Amino acid sequence: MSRIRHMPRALLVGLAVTTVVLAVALMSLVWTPHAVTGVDIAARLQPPSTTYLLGTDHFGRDLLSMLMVGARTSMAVAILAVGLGMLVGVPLGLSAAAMHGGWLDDLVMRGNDLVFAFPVLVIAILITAVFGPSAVNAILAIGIFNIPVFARVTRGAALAIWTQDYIRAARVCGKGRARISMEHVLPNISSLLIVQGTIQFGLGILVEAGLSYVGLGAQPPLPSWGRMLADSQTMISFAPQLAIFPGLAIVITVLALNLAGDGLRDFLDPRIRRAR
Amino acid sequence: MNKVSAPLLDVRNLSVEIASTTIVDRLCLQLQRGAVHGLAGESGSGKSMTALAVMGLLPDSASATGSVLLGGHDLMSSDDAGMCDIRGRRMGMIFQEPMTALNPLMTIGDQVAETVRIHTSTGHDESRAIAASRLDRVGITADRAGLGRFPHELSGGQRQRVMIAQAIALQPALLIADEPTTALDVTTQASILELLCGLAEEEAMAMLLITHDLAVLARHAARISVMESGRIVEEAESEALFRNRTHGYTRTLISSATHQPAKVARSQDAKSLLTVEQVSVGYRKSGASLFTDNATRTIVKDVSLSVATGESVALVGESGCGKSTLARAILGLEPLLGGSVTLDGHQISQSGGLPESAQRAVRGAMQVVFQDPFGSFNPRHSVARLVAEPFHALPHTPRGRDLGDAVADALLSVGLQIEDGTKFIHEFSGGQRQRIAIARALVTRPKLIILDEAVSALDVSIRAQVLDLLAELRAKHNLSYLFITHDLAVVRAIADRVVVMKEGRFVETGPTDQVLDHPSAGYTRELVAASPEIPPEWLA
Amino acid sequence: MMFGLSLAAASLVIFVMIELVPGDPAAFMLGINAAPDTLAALRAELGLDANPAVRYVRWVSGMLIGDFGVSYTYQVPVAELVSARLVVSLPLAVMALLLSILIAIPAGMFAAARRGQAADVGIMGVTQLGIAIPNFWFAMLLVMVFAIHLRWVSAGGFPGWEAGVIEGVKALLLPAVALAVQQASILARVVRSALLDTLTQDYIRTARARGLSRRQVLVRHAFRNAMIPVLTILGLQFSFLIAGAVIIENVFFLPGLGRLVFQGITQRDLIVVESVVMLLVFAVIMVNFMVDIAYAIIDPRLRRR
Repeated sequence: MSRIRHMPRALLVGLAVTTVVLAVALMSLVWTPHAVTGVDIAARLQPPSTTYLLGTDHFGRDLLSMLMVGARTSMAVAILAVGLGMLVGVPLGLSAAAMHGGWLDDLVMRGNDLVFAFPVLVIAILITAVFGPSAVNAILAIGIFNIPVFARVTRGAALAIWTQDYIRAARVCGKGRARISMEHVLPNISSLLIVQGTIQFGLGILVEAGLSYVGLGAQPPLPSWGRMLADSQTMISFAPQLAIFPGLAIVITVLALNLAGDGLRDFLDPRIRRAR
Repeated sequence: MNKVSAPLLDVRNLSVEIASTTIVDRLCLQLQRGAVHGLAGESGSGKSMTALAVMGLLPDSASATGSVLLGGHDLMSSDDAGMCDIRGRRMGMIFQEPMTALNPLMTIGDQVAETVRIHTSTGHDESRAIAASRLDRVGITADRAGLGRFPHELSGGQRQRVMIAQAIALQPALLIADEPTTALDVTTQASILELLCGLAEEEAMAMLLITHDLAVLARHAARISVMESGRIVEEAESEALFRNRTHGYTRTLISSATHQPAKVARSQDAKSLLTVEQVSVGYRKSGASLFTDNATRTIVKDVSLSVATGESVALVGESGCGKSTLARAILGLEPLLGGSVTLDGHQISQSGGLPESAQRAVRGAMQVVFQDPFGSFNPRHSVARLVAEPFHALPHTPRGRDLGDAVADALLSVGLQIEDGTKFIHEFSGGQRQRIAIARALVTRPKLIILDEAVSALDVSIRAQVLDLLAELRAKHNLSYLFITHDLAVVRAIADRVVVMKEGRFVETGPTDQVLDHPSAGYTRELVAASPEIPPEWLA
Repeated sequence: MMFGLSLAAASLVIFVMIELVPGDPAAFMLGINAAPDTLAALRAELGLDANPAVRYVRWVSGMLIGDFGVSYTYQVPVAELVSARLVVSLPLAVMALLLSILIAIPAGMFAAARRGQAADVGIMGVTQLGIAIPNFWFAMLLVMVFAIHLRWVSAGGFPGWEAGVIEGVKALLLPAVALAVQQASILARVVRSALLDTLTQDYIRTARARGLSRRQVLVRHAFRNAMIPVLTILGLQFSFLIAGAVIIENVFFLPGLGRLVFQGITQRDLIVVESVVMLLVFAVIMVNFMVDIAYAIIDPRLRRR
């Protein structure tokens, strides 16, 4: 608990806001102010009021409720995509570093370069062309794009650890590369991975919004922030609030995650440095 | 005090503070023209901060008070523009690390010429000509690519010469050299020091030579100031300082630097423990493709060596000679290209490799201590866990109480407490960490410990204590040591026998005293001559 | 060498992905009621009856001579379609890239030179915000302000270069700004941290010791060294710029590659999708290749390798 008091303010704010967004997203599973599936033409394009805190869209759906469900979509897609990237990328990076200079290392690095040549949007286009658009495709596309990111970060940090004498000491004790990777390397790069994960999380939210904006992400009727922005575009001259609130939701969430990521880097880094 | 002439550099009551911690405390220092003045002290004594304060290059977090007069001109009251005019023109500075102290993207000629160009209105061609002549003076001749070379194309010693050239390009009155040769090999160190002192005399430059190495100052400095925790505790003429040893701290420093642990008596008919037979080690050349599989670079070439039970053998050589590679090969960390390694009657390594089980059988009998007290430990494990790690090598790992007892024994035997086992490595100083490294090496009760530059990163006083500990442990457990080092003083302190290595081969082997006092190989003679030593008669 | 290998590998991945797409383009073009022999004839005409290896070689060798095939829906050569769209997308990407570099380098240098001061904190705050704003949303805000409220520019569309360079640039200006904001924010942060990092290096102290002022050190020594990490990020960011451009075109109804490829997806015009995707990947690989060359120009350690 006492460590929380020493956290920088930006980090605290970032973590707090992220927690709130996550809580709202989870809450939308059991409760939203209004249903988000029904169409109520009588209540269409209402300005903000006590009934509809942020107003309604062109189908009469409550904007706040849609934002809450949209948070769930964005968060779920981004978390799963980062998870996929970590789950595949970190082991790849660890083994590439353990086999530094060998064929596996070469293979991982060349594979990385190849995936890096595909912009995330292009991956999403290809996947959508094959399977049709859906939120799962967005997860896959963003996840695939995350794999080389984590593989590269992991490999770079792990290589630095591999040059340390304590790795040599462990090898003298007869420990194998896999065991050393798990026992000595992974724990010492974990804070870096947490930082990278937070940053990729924020990026994932941005990319998810972009994909659903162009129709490659979550499909209606499931609300998503990007989709809401796309729908609002034809109405911005007379209902600008429809475009403003979802955008703000994205900015606030991504800003919070980036602040948390930067804060964590500063917060965790000196400890790493001192420990070395 | 007879005043011959006004000093060139006059530092009065200089204090430096960083975050309200006093780093330099009311320091006074006078330097005469044309003389080499030594500033000695252990790490953290504040000698580098003193130099940076004189140059006006303290980090932003530091604040300085007092006065610094250069030729009567007060530097402390100058603003940065005024100091920029003086730096490089009236005073120059050389730093320790030649590998990083030059801009990698700029040719050496441009870097030397830059000193000329920013201080004078000399044109491009003329400043290049001055740069060429100064580089020539420090021994970088303009043949081949000459001035157009980049730092990465030069060796460490050559880069240090370029550093000197850019510092003395305009013949400054004061040259500050902060550990200028610490990162260099001993033969290179000797030639760089000769160059620096020659320049000081020839160009009537005052030189402040900062080093931790008293032997270097004994040979090169006219006067020496000894610094301890921010203060100058003693200042005297070189010879007088060593002969009189007035101050307690000076006495400690000198006795640590020349410290000889008690000799360990051993039986002459001890049997051979480690045998290295015709071993070669090398790497495949980078860039070699699949088709030219045989393109290898041999680092260690066909060497043979044996270490008897209870014997301490030193392996000496300069950086890149292959001594550490050989050590790693003995430890099983590098594959052999040829030959074999036998420990206690078991073959542990041969070209083509051995099954893991064969290596495992004897692994507990051989342990290692590395140089870097900071990189040798996983920062996330407790000391007890770190010390217990070598048990992994044994077929039967002790558990529970037995394990705890073994770790406690090891910690106690290196002078630490049992409670230290629950702490983490960042809570210990460099010297304590090296003790923990020794405890880790001792825990499996090995017969042989390989010490790879194990005391090189330590201050002299700590180093003397660790050498004592090693001698004591050796006598107690009849241990054998293979000591890899570049430092002849350490060799004398610890080794019964010495092996001199150059370019992957052994050039001379023999009892320590014989090899160091009457070297037969030319390279050994060169090495011994280049190694700085306090004249024995000064210490009589 | 690496360049060619990357392109070959990328083209294979794209080809295999498109092969996996369910459904037959010929059947799609003719509708459900097509007679089997007409279908077979069309399949032969489109070259769909050959085996995949042959079609891959045909596709790649065609591209090498500028033949991208014929669009299933438009019945015109894909090369024509693509080049008509490229004259919009390419200037947009270049304008955005130039804008972001022109903003980021001075901003980053300024912040680094005034580290910890109000200007630094301010610039860093703005860039933090700039990174978090989705570029297509920022584009919508720009439209709201400049097209709908102030009526300075039209809300979208492209008059074509025939209408004059000025008109064309004017139509691309808002999209380029929207694209550049995020890029510039990221880049400015990288420039700042790279400079601060370089300023702690030993050779900076050496340069100060020979009498260079803080400014001279920044300009003569730190800047070039700091460009190395900046280039790396610039190369990596290009891929995002491409993706961003494709999305932004939708906000402004620009007839660029982005709209072409989305139409291609909905109309199952796979040969268009395939070609545009290949083109985008080619651009990314090309830029990274140029970054590698730039490294060698800046850093003598990388020459003659």
